[in-house]
Order: sequence, then C-alpha cells, then structure tokens
Amino acid sequence: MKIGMLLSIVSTEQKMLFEAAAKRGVAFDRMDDRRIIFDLENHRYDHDVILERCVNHSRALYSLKMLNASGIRTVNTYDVARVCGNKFLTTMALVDHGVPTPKARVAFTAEAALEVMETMGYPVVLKPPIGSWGRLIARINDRHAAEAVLEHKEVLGSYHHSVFYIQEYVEKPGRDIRSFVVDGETICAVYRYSDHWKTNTALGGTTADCPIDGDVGTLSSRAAEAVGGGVVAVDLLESPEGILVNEVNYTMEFRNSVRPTGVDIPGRIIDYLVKVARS
Amino acid sequence: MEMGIVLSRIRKDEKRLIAEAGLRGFDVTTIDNSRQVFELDRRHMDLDVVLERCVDHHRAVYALSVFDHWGIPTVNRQSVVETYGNRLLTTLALRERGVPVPDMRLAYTPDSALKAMEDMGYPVVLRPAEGPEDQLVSRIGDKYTAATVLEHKRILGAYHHSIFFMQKHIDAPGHDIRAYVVGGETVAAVSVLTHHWIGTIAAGGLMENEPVTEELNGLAVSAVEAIGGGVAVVDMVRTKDAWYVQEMGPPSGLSDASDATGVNIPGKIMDYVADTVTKGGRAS
Amino acid sequence: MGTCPECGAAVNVDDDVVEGEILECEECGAELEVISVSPLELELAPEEEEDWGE
Repeated sequence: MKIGMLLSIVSTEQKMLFEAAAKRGVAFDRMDDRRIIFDLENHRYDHDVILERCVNHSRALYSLKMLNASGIRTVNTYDVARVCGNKFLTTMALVDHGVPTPKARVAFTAEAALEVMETMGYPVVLKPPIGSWGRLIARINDRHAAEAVLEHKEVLGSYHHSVFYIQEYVEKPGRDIRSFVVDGETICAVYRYSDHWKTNTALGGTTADCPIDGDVGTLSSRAAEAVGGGVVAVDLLESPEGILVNEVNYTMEFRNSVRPTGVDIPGRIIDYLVKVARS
Repeated sequence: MEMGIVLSRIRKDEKRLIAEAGLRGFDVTTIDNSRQVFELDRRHMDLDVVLERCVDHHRAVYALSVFDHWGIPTVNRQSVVETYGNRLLTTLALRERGVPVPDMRLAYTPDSALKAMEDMGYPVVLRPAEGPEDQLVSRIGDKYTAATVLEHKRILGAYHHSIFFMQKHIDAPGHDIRAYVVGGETVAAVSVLTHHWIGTIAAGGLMENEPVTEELNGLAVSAVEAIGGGVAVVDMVRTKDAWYVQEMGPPSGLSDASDATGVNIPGKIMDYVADTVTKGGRAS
Repeated sequence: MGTCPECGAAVNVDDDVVEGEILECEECGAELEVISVSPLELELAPEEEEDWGE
C-alpha cells in the first residue's frame, strides 16, 4: 500500500497526521507541491491514494485534477475541492440537496452588489467566492460601509473580486459550530467562541465540545454528502430559525478540536485513507 | 419560446444572433450581466433556454451555473464553458479523447517551472491556465528568457500567476486554423494569416476561408465532443506531418468569420439552440 | 539549535521537529521554514498568498 501526502509547509495539522500515521504503521510519501512538476507523458505517481494538504487552494485544485485524470484516488477528490473551495458552488450544492443555508445572492458589478445589499437590508455579509481563514469577508452595516468596501474591491481588481457573493447576516449566540465528517459520519463537533463576529479559530477564539446528536450530526452529514463526501469540516450557525450550514471546508484545520472532543481526528482521517487505498 | 441571452455588450455578433433568433420565432430577452442579480435559493426567471454571450469568462461560468441549478437548458452547458475557459481542463479532456495536443507540464513555483522547461526543451509557450488567448502568453526560447519571465510572474503575484502552464511550442508558420463547430458539425473554418507568432484573430490576424476537409472536420468535432459538445471554436495548427489542437473557446468573431466563409454561422447557432430546446435541453 | 537567516539570532527547535515545519524566531518574529533537520537549516517561510486557507 502506497499513500502520498501532497503539501507545502508542515503545519500543526500535518504533524498530527504524520504522528497518527506512524502510530498505525502507515508510511507516507511526502510530496512538496513547490517541487512537483506534473507531466502527462510520464506518469510518475503510482500511489493507492494521495491525501491533499496544500495550503494554496489553486495548487490543491489543479493537483487533484491532474491526479484524478491519471486515475489516482485522492482525499478529497477534485469535485469536492472545486465545490467546497467556492462559496457560490457550495451554496448551490446545499440548496440542491435541501440543506438549510443562509440566503445568498450573486452579482458581477459593484452597482449591482450595492442594489442587492439595499434590498436584503443591513447588516449583510460580503465574501469573495474563493478564499478562506475569514480573509476579506466583510460584515456591512449600512450603505456608507457598502460603498466604501465595494470601491476598494473595484480598485483591487483581481478577478475574484469582480464576483460579489452576498449573504444574509445570521444573528448567532457569540459562537458557531464546526463539525468534522469522515466518510459520511459526523465524528465530532466543537463550539467556537469569539468576541469577533467571525468565529474562526484561525483568528483566535476558544473551543469546547459540542454534542453531535440531533441536528448538528444530521445536517453535517447531509452537507458533506451534498458537496461529494470525503473528509470535510462543516461550519454551522445557530440561527433563531434553526441550524444553518454556512460553509464546508475540504482541507480542514483541526488542531484545536481534538482535545475538547476527545476524538482522534487525524487518526480517523488516516483510517479513512487506508480504507480508500484498499478499496 | 422565451430565449434569454446573457451578455455583457450587444456587439455586432449579438445583433446578428438576436436577428436570427427572431427569424426562428424566439422571444428574446437580453440579460445584462452587469445589472443582473442571481438569488441562489429560488428560481426567479422563467425562460425556455439561455444563450451565453458574456465577455468575461467567470461571469459566464457563474451565470450558467445558476441557470443549470434552476433546470433551464443553456448553450453552452456550464461544464463545457468551464472546460474550454481553462487550458488544463481542456488539455486533459482532449487527451482523454485521444485528440493530439502539444506536450504540456504544470508547476507551481518559478523554480519548478524552470526545471520543467529545461526538461521539455525550448521553445516553450508559458501561459496562465486561465485567461484570454492573447493575454500574458510568452514564447520562451532559452533559459535566460525563462528566468526573466518567471521573475516577473513571481513579482506580479496574483494567484493565477502561480500556476505555470507550459506547452511545447509547435512551429507552424501561416497554418493557424480556427474551426467553428456547432452541434457535432464543423460549419465553417478560417485560416489566420499573421506574422506574429501568436496566430490569433484577437492579435489582428487576417481571416481567409479554409475548406472544411474530412480530416479537419473530424479533428474539430472530436475536440468539441471531448469537452462535452455544443458550440465552440477549435484553434488548430498543422505542421508538415501532424495536426494539433492548441486552444478552444467560445464562438467569437462570428460576423467576420461569416463574411470570410459565406456561411451564416449565427443562423447555424440558432438552429442548434432551437434543437436543444426541442430535445429538452440536453442536445450535444 | 539553528540560526535565523533574518536576524542571525539562535533559534531553538524541539526534538520532534520535521522538515517543512514552520517556526517563529523569538528574536525578530520572522516565520522560518525548516529546510533540513540534520544539519538544521532554516529559511524564511513563504509569505501568505491570496488563496491560502483551509
């Protein structure tokens, strides 16, 4: 059995995965995406499965496409990364599968985006469709803020800034929920507390165990299924109307979630990889 | 029959398409993508078919995703546009179908890209994986040029510049051919005469009618089938002994190509759109 | 013990350090990448790019 891990830098998560693999006697072939050259003529990859842990979304996406096209199985697959890596595609996948998610609109110009915000009412959340760690996500409280942010986006000009993904703002109780789904099963979840409205642990904040019986477990599994399965982390919001799925992450971070939940997340990922490699 | 045409500007081509649609009994609604807002949780447009004519590739892909999500048939289908708008996706689809394409490599850093070019041998064509055919394309003849161009890309930094898509340059002066494929048939072809090595129409090449031989038709049609069918242009080069498909894209330059070939390409496209609606939206 | 390529300070590393790991220089705060473990070699870590994240 030959398992590869595609990565660039080694973050805490990668180290935890190395340790979990070593504990199970599973050997990894480390592949640094900065040195890799994909070549269609000479297939150099003969792995039974490759775990993708790139830090760049575009490298992850292109690598998964190349590997899947050469018949190499990957966790996650190209299709899952394509949908999860794009908030617009994620929303449509969730809506298609009847998974409750905040209302969202898409527009292509600042003028049209402003009109959307005025119609939806403030506060409203503006996100780049591609991007993460809460980067460039803006909560917009009024028309003046909207105009200022949109002007910056226009000047920034990179092409993803010309697609405006606008989401309704969901009032939440000072925390959100992140759940972990492996192979269709919700294995654990944490509450993430933060004073900042972006309750992302990458931006600081604390975590505590969240029970997975009831809606948290069911909706997480359904969200994972909607985006195509594999190993994903689901971000959920507790709205007054019930739980909503906000985003689904395909190269997730889990360093702050093992201790509060007592669940060996990296171990479960390695077990799943071995299962895929053997299938 | 209600047809939506999602577009950025009404250019000469769009005018002709709208006129041809009218002749076939369609009621045309133009959807200006700069004003349109799409709500993702409910269908708020009632159309029998949508024709996509956006200038911006990403707007096209997003808009088509929404129509697809709503179950409205589109020309082209979203997956086809996503594929021909990306050189890696196009190359992979063509190769899988056995369509001849230039040798390619993919790398993510200037160092690995340089190594790849050294390995495949110059001249190499380096281009972004996405973007218009004539934008940021470099033909690299040696290691020094490679290092200079890669350094510029590194400084530019936006993340599409960190995907290095490299193709072996095919030397075929004066033999760039563009085929217009509509619904499984090459309806017209033009050759592009240019002195610049980027032999594209966008670079100001002159168009001449190119006879559609069985060989040309066969190659162009399999290329379009490889990406999922529909309406597309196929840019090919012919060397002494082989053909290669170099690039694919949306059907642009329709008026000029119609004038050069005497074929009513917008009319052919509208016949295909009408056919798509009759067949319930999944014609290829 | 390695040397920070940015400020020249001595950088302490844990025993379980692995190649590719990112460390922070306590002296100047620079993010450093472990290029090799033995001998220990450190380089400035890549800067965060637009599409980094989960």
